[in-house]
Amino acid sequence: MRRDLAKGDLPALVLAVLSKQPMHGYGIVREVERLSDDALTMREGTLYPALRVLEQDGLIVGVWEPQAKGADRKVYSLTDAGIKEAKRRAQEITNYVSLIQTVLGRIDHAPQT
Amino acid sequence: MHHKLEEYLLGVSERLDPLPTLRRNEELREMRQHLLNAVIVNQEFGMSEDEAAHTAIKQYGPTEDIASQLVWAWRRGDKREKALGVWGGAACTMAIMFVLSIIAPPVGSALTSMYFALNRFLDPLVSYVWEPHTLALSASDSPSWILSALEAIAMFGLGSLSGGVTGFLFPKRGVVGTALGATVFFAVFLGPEIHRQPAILDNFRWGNLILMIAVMVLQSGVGAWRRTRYGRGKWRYAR
Repeated sequence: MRRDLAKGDLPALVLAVLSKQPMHGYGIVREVERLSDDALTMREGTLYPALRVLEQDGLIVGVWEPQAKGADRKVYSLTDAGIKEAKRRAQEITNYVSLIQTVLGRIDHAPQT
Repeated sequence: MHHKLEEYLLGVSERLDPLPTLRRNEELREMRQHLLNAVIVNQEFGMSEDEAAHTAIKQYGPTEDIASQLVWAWRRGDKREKALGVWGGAACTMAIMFVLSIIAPPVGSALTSMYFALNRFLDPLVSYVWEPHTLALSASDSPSWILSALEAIAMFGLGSLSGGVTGFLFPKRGVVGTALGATVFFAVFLGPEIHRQPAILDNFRWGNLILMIAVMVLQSGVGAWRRTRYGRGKWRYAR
């Protein structure tokens, strides 16, 4: 099942992807798709406004890097603050998902009234 | 590059008008790289060039949405930069003026004597207007006049230079910051001198002083504005 990635979840996923290795914009999109087994899709252009916000907040930095083949690419990496924020947001989402699962699990097992 | 990509980028570029030129260029450069990558990968999956470009654009999103989100993101950061720009600009202007006045004796001399230099220019002229036969100009005064002229030129240069550098470093609110910095600087520099020699400050000289500070602040502001204006010029996506 393919579904659109919610706009609010994008920054957390970007931080998570960049916590593994620095990457350019196109690479981030493909990595999110790969890690979700192509289940999560996004309008690729929405990535860049999210990257700008993360840059403004000092969580990532983008640097134009020359490539062995082809034109230069802007490669993003996490700052120290970004590394902490990536962990915090990942934990926050994990807690949230766990909470929802708990609620849904209890509803499933609750006796019918 | 495929004509569809060109048209798409042109469409986004037209909607990115609020962004400064450099920022807009960078956004379009990155967008172009992304789309070219997508086209190459799509072609590797067996699509024709046309189909690959069409798919890449569709995946990227409508021009209106993409441009409006980028403008929103820029404005979000711009608000912060503007706040920083005023104080940063003021500090930068003061620092440049201070350093130049210390390391360049003519400029330092001009700073402390500019008010009095202006009076040296104006007093004889005012006398001449009021009493045309008493113009206090003579050949023996020439070194003093030349010195005064050089001081005035140095002052205008100082205003332009400090304003230009500040405008370049703090394009957001750089003009306001520069004007603030120049005002504070002149007040600090001239204040003690004025306090020391209150007797010479009649209404005419007060007028000179206010006029001079206003001109110098304006000069700095124009220097900053010219630099910031350069970054805000109209730009169209070039092939």
